[in-house]
Amino acid sequence: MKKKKRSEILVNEERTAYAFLLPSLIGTLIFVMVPIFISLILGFTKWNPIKGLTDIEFVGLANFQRMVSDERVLTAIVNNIKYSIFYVPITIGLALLLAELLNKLVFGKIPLRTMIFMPYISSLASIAVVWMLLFYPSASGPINSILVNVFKIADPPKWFTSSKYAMTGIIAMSVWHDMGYYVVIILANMQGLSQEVYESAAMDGANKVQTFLKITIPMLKNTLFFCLTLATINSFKVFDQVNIITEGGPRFATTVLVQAIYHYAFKEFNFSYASAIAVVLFIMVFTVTYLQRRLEKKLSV
Amino acid sequence: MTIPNKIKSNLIRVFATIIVAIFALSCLFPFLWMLSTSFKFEIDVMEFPIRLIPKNWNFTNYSKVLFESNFPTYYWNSIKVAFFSVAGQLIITTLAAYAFGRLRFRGKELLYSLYLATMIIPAQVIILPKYLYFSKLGLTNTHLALILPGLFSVFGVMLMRGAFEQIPFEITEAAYIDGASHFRIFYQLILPLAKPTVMTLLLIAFTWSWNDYINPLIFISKDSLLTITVGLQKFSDEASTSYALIMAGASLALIPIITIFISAQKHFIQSFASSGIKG
Amino acid sequence: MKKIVLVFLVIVIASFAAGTVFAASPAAQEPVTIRYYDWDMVDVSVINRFMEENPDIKIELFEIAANSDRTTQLDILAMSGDIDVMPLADGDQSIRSEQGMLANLDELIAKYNIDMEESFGIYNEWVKSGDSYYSIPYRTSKTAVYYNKRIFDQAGVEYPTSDWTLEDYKAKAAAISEWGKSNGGVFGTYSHTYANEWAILPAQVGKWYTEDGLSNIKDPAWVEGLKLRKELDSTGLQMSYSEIKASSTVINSSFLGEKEGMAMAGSWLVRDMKKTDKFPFDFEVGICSLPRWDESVEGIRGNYSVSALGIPETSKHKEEAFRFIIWLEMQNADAIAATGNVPCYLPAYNDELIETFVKGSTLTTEQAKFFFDTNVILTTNKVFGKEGASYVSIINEEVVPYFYDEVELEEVLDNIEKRVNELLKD
Repeated sequence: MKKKKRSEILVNEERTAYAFLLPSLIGTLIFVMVPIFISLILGFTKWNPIKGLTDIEFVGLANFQRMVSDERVLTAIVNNIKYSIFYVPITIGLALLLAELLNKLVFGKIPLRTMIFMPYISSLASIAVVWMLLFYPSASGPINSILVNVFKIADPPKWFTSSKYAMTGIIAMSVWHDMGYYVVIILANMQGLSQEVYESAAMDGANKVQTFLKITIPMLKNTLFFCLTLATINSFKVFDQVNIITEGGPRFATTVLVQAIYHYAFKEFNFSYASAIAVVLFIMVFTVTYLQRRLEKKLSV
Repeated sequence: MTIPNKIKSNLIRVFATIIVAIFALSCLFPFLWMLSTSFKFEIDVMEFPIRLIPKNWNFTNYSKVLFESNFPTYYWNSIKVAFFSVAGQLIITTLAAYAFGRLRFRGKELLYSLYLATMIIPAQVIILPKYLYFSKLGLTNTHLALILPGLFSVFGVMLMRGAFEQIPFEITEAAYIDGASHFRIFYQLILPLAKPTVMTLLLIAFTWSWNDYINPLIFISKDSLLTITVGLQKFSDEASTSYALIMAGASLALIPIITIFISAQKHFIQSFASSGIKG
Repeated sequence: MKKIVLVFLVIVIASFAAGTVFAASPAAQEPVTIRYYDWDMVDVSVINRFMEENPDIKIELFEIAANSDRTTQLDILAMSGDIDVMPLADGDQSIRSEQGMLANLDELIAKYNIDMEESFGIYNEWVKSGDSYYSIPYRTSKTAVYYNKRIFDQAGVEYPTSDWTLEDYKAKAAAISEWGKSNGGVFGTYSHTYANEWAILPAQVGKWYTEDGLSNIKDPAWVEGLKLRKELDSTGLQMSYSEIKASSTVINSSFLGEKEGMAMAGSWLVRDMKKTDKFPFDFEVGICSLPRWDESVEGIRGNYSVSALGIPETSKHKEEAFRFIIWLEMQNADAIAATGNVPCYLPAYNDELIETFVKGSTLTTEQAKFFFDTNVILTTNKVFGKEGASYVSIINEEVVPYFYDEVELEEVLDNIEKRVNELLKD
C-alpha cells in the first residue's frame, strides 16, 4: 500500500514537471536553441551568407586548423583566460563581502544598495568616458596623480594606452561594473537563510567574522556556485567594454574571443571561421562549468 | 546586552558604512557625469579635468529630446517590450524552475546541462543566423522579435531554481500530503517564500530588456518600433558626437529602473521579516 | 456518395477561391517597394517628389544611427535581402564587392546610358572593383586645414596660403603652441586618431603596393609620415594620440572649442559649424588646402573619401533601386549640399551649390570653393587595391603601439609588411 503510493507520487511528480517545463522548453527550443545550433554547425562549413541558409558546404575541421596559426585567436584565448582568472574570484569575493555588509552591517542600506547597482544600469558610453578620464595616461590623470603624489611612483602606468596595463584596467572596470548584479543576487538569497542558526551562534558568543565564515558562506554555497558559473560564463562573453574602450588594443593586448569572432564575422565576412571560434569558446566554457558543477556536487555529499 | 557592546557594534557599523559608502560613491560617478553632460553644450562635454558643474548651462537638451524627436515613442516601445517580456518571463521561468528545483523527473540532468549550454553562446555569434531564421518566421520588424527570446530566459530558470531548492522540503511535504496540488504549492507556498529572488529576477530581467541594444539594432528598422537604446543613437552624426543629447535621453531612461529598484527593496525587507518566522 | 460529392465541391470551391486571391494580388499593379537606409538623409520632400514622378516605385525610408554599429546592421540586412539601397561609407565598398555582397552595376549603367567618367570623375576610384562598378559615388568628404583666425591673429602668425608646404605647416603649429603655453595651453594643430589619418599628407607621394603587388609600407613617404605624427605629438604641437583616445576627444568640439589653432578635418566639419546649438563658437574660421609634402610636390593639394550607394546582390528590384539612386544623385545635388555634405555629381558643381552648402556655417562661398574645386589634386589616405580593407586594419593595429611609445618603428614596419604580404600571397 505504502509502496504503491510512493510510485504514484513519482509518476505525478514527473508529469507535473514536464507540464511545468513545457512552455519554457518549447520556447527555448524554437527561439534560443535553433539559432545557436545553426551557428555552431556553421563552424564546420564554408558558407557565404549571400546564398542564404541553403548553400552550405561542409569542410570538416579546416576552420579549426587555421586557428592554430592565427595570432589574433591565440592571443584572444590567452587574454580571455587571464581575464577570467582575475575577474571571477575578485568579483564574487567582493560581491559576497559587500552583500554581507549591506545585509547587516551598514546604515542606510537602501540608498547604498541602489548606488552599488548604478554602474550596471548606467549607459556604457558614459562609464567608458569616465573610466578613461580617471585612468588618464599622463601624470595629471586623477588616478595617476594619486600614484605620483601619495605613493611616490615616479613613472605611473599609462593604463588603457599601454599593452602592459590595459587588461588590468579592463578587469578593474568590469569588476566594478558587474558588482551590483552579483550583490543583488547574493542579497536576495541571503534573505532566505534561517535566522535561528544565527541566533544560536550569537548565543554561543561567535563574532561577526566567525558567523560569516562558518554559517553564511556554507549556507550560501549553492548561490555562490551559481554566481561562480554565471561569472565564468560572463567572463568568456566579455565584449562591450573592451570594444568601446580599447578596441582590443594596443595591438592585441586586450583582444578577447568574442572580439575575434566579431572581427572575422563583420569585418572580414568569414562567418564560418567566426563560428568555429565560437565552437572553441563553447567547449572551453562548457568544460569549466561542468567541472564546477562536479565540484559543487562533491561538496554537497 | 551591555551598553559598551552596543557602542562597539555601532562603531563597527559606522566604519563598515564608510567603507561601503566610498565604493558606492564611485559607482555614482558615471551617473553624475551623465546628468551633468545632459546639461552641457556638446562643445563643452569633453573637458579635462572633468567638470561636473557645467560652465555654461544648457537646458535645451531635454526639450529637444522630449519634444523634437521620436524619443517618447521609443520610450513607450521600451515600456511595452519590457513589460511583456518581464511578465511572461516571470511566469514561464518560475514554472520551469519549480520543475528543476523541486521535482524529480527523468532527463533532468541532461536538460539542465542543455539549458546551461545555451547561456554560453554570446549574442554576437548567433545574430546573423538568428536574423535569417527570424526573418523566415516573419518576426523581423515586430516587437515579438524582442519579446519572445526574452521570455525564455535560461538565466531566469537557473536563478529561480536555486532559490526554490533552498526552501526546506518539509514545508511543502506536509501540504502535499494534505492533498494540495503542485500548482497550489508552487503558487501559494514556494513563490511567496522566494519573493526576494523573484524581485531580483524582475529587476534584472527588466534591466536587460530595457538596456538591450544588439537585438533592436538588428531586428527593428522601423523608427516607430524602435526602443530607447538604439533610438538614442540617432542623435549622433557621422564623425561627431552627441553626448549631451544622448545623455539627456539616457538619464530619462534610468527613471523606471531606479523606481523599480527602490520599490523592489521594500519587498526584500518585508520578506526578510516573514522568512525569519518560517525558516 | 453524397459525402464524396460534397467533399469534391468544397475542394473545387476552395481552389477557385485560392486561385482568385493569388491572381488578384499581382494583377493590381502594385508599386515596387525599395527599402533605402541611410544615416544622413536628404529632406523627405525630395523622396516624395521621386514617388510622384515614378508611381511604379514606392520608397521606404529607414533612418539609422551614424555610429560604428551601422555597418553590422546594414550588412545583416544586405545578406538577408531586406534592403535595396545600401549606403557605403568611405572604404566599406571594396571588401563588400569582393565578398559578392554588392550587385555588379555595369549592365544597368550601360542600359541607362550613364556617363560615369563625366558624372563622377575621380570619385569612381572608390566604387570600382577591377573594371566593374559596384556602387555609385554619393557624397565626398574632402580634408582641409581649418584654422582659427582669432588665434592666428593673437599669436601673430600669418594665415596659410594654398602653396604652403609641410615645413610651413610645422612652423605655424610651433608658433601657435609656443604662444599657447601662456594662453591656456592651446595646441598648434590637431590630427585625429582615425585609421590611416597619419597617411593624409604622405599619400601625396607614397605608394601602398610595390610593383610586384606586395606591401610597400617601407616606402620612405609612409615611414616619414609615421614619424611626422609622432614628432608633432611628442613636441607638443598637437594633442597626443593617447590623450585624444583617453579623453574621447573629437575634432569638432575640440577645434570649435578653441583648443588648437588649426585642425586637419573633413568637409563634414562645415556641417557641424551649422549646428550652433551644439557647437556655439564666435571666431572666424579659415580654410586652406593641405600643405604640400615637400617642394617637389606641385599644385593645390587635397585628400578625399567617398560614400556611395550600392545595391545588395540579394535585392529583388535592382533596376528600380538603380533608377532611384541615379535620380537621387544626379538631380538633387542641392538637397545633398543642404545637409552639409559635398555631393559627388560633378556636373552640378556651381556657385549656387556652394552657397547652399555653406549656408548657416559662417563660411563664405569663396572659402568653401576649395571643396568643389576640380583643379585641386586629390589623393587619399585609404588603400585601394587587393585586400585594401584588411591592409588598413592591419596598419591600424600595428601603428597604435608606436604612437603609444611602446615599440620601435622598424618592428612596426616589419610586422605590417609580414602580415599584409601573407594576405596578398594567398
